[in-house]
Amino acid sequence: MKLTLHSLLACAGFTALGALGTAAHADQLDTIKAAGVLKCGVGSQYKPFSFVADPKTRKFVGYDVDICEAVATRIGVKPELVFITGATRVTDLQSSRTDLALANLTHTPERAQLVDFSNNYFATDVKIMVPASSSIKSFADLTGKRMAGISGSQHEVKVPKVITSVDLKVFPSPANAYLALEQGKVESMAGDETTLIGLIGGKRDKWRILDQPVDTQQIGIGVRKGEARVLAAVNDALTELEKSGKAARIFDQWFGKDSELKMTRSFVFAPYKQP
Amino acid sequence: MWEILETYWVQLLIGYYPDGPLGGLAMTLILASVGLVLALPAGLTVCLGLISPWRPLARAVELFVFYMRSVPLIVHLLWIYFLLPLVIKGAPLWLVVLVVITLFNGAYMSQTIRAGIEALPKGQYEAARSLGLSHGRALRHVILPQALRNMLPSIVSQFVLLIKETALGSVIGLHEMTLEFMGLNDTLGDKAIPIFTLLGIAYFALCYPLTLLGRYVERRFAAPARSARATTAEASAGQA
Amino acid sequence: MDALASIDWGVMFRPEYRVMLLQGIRNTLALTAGAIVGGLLLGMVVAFGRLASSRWIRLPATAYVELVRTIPLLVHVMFWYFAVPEMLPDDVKRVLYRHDVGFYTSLVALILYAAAFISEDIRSGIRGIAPGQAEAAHSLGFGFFDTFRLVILPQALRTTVPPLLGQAMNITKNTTVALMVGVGELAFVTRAVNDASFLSVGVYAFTTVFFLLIAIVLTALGQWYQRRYPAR
Repeated sequence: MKLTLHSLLACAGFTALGALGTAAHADQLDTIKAAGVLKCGVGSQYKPFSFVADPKTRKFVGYDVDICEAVATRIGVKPELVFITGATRVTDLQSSRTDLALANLTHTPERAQLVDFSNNYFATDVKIMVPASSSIKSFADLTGKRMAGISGSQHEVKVPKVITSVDLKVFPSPANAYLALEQGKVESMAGDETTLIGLIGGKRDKWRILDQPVDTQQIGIGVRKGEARVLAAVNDALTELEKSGKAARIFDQWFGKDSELKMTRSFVFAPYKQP
Repeated sequence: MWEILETYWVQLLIGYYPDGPLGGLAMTLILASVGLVLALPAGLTVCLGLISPWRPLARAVELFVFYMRSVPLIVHLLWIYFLLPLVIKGAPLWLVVLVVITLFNGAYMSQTIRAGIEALPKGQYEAARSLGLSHGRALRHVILPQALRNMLPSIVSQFVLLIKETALGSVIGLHEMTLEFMGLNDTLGDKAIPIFTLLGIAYFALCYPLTLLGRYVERRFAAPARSARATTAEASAGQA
Repeated sequence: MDALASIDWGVMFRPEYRVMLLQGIRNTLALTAGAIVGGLLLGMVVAFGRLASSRWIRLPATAYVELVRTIPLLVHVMFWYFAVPEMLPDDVKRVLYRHDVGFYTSLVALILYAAAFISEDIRSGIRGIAPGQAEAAHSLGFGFFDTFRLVILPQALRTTVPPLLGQAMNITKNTTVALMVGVGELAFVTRAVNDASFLSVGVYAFTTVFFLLIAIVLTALGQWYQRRYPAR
């Protein structure tokens, strides 16, 4: 009995170590097609990229949802939404919890070392928002004030470059940051212009977005590094969407004339341009 | 406050299932239940290591238990969130949480089981051996059945602890009940007071009856387990 | 497995993370110390409340303990951080928000949570003393406070200190929950450095060793105490 138990434990230990060596590396596109599902990493409450509009149906809708659906259809599989946060979207992509990383992933040289980026599918500026009644009118006024930033975005890096000595408090999601701003826990908030507009929705007169941008961002879809066939499939889908005009229609529905944001489309789906 | 429940009860109950991942109260309960079912054999295995006559194994297992108890649950979650996908490609969040709570509660329960075994009169083991049963057979047919019966109240209170531990799944983004309510707070903005009051009520409604059940079971199965309960359930009880 | 390929054990000590690290450790220690002291004081009060003869004191104390213990600490922290400040009058709220709301609300939640469990340990410690002790003391003419101070407390201490050390360990681990409301304690810093550097192994190893060291110290303390003052 002693011998059996101990050898059993030893066996279990070696098996566990062996499993660490992990399996052969099948091409990801084949894996996706075999599984019949494309896992898109999206935010769980990211207006208007991916959010629940009607609590009764609990269905997710939004810009990212439509894009994910389009790419999945192109590959010939079903889309599946996997919730990620700003901080986890890259690691989730690397660990195969997701096949694509959306949620407004800005294309930066540092990130390009960890993931491959598709062509741009969105563009926006990072701006600062303050309450309409605030005395803050420019970046100079922000010195020493508290600002809400979003973790996993570029705020911690970009904001200190243009605004001196701001007390940046980082929150896990745009909704958290906005809540802190509403409650007065911070005096200002950094975010992509589209994210900010999406958060304030109809309450345009309560908030003011400073004109001066912190940074202009090109946004692409993140793909696992080295997966060339998946990248090509995504880019094909994006090019097709732009050519057929569906890209413009999706934009209009969530950001443009059919939405409450009424923004004009300042970009097209195109390859990344070195700044 | 109750209008929030009226509008959002489906999401708070089962998350976004079936169009999306399962979440909410369902996820909390399923995770806690499966965790309990897995933690028991895990605890038993660890306990067997603890009481093993082979000293090196016993020492190694003691170190494992010390490690599991000294490191905060959140840090365990961060480790497994990082390590598990290396072993199981694309490991989902609920699996990460399940692995953590199985190991964590297994380590704690091993102490409960050991105390339950040691609370039995020595005569039981000696009598079993003198009747010709081997060490293993004595454990399996005489000691463990009695020890496990004494441990029933501890198992119930461990289940309560498990339910509370699932709340920490929200730290790595698992959509269990706490994260669903937090998401609701983000969406609704100024409804923090009713939302978090409701969340507190939900956990209380889950855990308090179970706590009472544990006390009732203890009364029914009475004294010998007293020392077992005192050392272990109380020790882990003060945790998040 | 390139995640394991680049392991930097000293990543937390790099100049760009060092400041955050020190603040993280400081916040953890501050929360721990505050919660231990507050928890002990409040725990004693609640313990006496539960042993009181008057129902008007006993029942609220019991309700407090039962309520706090059945709700996860994270939910307590959320409640105090999100809900409670909104219940305050506007001017108080504004003053509060100008300071580190996360830290103070987490501290309150930690104290209330710890006190519930500490009061239980103190209560069983006191109840463990045979009632004959108190009766004998009374019949010898000792007043209530003297009885407690000279007869009950010294004996109760021997059985109570080990579980209290266990609660101290729990409190230290529980401070990590504050990361969910943005308090920059060690777990928060751990995640931040990991997100910035992707060097998970070194980052997590540091934090793990930190807590292991605290556990070793507390365990050694407990063993020393039990050798010096064995519970008879």
